[in-house]
Amino acid sequence: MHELFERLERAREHLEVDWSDRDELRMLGAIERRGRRRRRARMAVAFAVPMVAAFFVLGIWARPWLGGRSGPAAPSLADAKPAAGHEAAPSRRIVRLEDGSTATLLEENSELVLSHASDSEVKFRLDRGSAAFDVVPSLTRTFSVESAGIDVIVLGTAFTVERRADSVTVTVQRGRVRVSDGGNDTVVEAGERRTFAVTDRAETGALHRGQGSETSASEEADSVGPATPAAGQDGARLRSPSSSAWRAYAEKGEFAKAYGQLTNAGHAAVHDDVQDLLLAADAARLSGHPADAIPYLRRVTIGHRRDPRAALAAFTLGRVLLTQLGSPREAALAFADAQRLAPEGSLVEDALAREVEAWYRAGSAEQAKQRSALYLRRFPAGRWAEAVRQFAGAD
Amino acid sequence: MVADHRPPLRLVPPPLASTPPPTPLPVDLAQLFHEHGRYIAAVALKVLGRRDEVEDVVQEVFLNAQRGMRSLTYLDGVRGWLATITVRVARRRLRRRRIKLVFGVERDEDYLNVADRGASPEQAALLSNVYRALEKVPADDRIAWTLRYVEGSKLDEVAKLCGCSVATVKRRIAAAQVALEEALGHA
Repeated sequence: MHELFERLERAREHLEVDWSDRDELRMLGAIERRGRRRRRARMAVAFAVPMVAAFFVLGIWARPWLGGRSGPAAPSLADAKPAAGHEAAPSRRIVRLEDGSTATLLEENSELVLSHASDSEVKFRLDRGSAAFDVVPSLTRTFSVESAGIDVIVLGTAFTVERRADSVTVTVQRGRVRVSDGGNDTVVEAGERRTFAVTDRAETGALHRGQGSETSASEEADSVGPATPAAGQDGARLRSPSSSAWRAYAEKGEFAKAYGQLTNAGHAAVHDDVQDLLLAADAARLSGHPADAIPYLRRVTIGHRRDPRAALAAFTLGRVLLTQLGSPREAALAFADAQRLAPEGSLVEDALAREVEAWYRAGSAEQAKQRSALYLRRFPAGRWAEAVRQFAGAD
Repeated sequence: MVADHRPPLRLVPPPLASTPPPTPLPVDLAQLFHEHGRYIAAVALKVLGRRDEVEDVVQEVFLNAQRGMRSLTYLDGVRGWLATITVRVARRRLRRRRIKLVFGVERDEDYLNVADRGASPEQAALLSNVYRALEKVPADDRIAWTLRYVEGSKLDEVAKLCGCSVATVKRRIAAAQVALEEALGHA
């Protein structure tokens, strides 16, 4: 048994979970939805019990109304399980929607998010890699794929979207798609392949989009060439062992060690991508150095505003400023920014409540009152309704 | 003239007439999840041994935690509190699994994917064998043993997570060990 423990001590290091910022956001959304469903179910039971009792008391028999959904069922995403008959080659994961449409991830690191699904609209977001879509035609439902601010809108077709650092390429095998980059619309027909350039200006956070270049679908090479880093960022990204050590510690939750390594390696060891910036911010604040987290969090909220994690970064910034650095006015502005970055996101209620608290602590009673009124309008039965009333002095 | 040895007068402003500030807002879910979600997922994986159950357990833990969050302010002990909830949720699942095993309706799990991709074949096989052997161990004994030897918690930490005494933890670990020795054939 002693030998077993020795071997187990080494082997147990390989019981790590896959955990990315996107997984985190996705799961947080799932928790919120599940919580709402439970609350609705509890309310339904709380309502139903006295109603049933009332029927018995009055001697009234009522047949419950059996409603049904009219129209086609909304497509929903199976939990990324392979479709039947498609065994998982790691680089070819297939997702099948209820209406028969499929999305196939073509690369091992492809990242695809189902951002909206309803009777009238299905919307995916391709964050990395490439994916092929085979869409069942429907006149009542739009199907779109968004990547780096470029929307591919279809009615029934087969097409591929490839996302690279500075371009999005759309290839249509069947049917046609309309590609919108916020200003220009381009139709891509069956047999065509078009590439749209995307350049992120890191200093200002503005996006510059160029016109697509057209090639036929039979050409093998990507017309833009290999992906290159966006303008304004460092070219080569060689990761030396010492500059990566902080990352390994931070990912394991050993933040004190991570912070020590990061201090030795310097800011250059943190890459200008959201994952690295958030990790560096965690290493700083969770090791007791909250002030050092501020630049990383600000970098996300300024230089990566379109990233879905920017709202979380703004929220975290607000918390650090309010609870750890005693800067309530700046905290209030950060919480307000979190709401702007994701006005319908899962953080908005908490961010607004925190903003009320921050204005109060900054001595801006009028601002606290105004924002409190907004909170109570939007979330009359919200979690923090009582607390924001107190901060606004409404009692 | 007599020297004045009294200290000079000092004007002290009157205390500000203000109501005491309201209690700070309790902990919010998003921040809790951001700081502890990954750790909770790791504990769930180590106790249950099944990657496809981890996400569901994590959701369950934070849903349960939401109810208790109103009385929390930002405390250092939050992680331990969440881990205790995780152990409770995992225990329920393990008990359901054993009942299904008795009735022959539980799926046959080989635990070959419990190790991540960085594990050597020998390490993956070891972990697979350990978790297959743990399937036959009662839930409480299994949890105590796993927290001690897989998660690496100290005995008093295991006791807190399991909600029992250190003596009980030792007894459960010993019982699990006997079962594992039988199953794995180690002396």
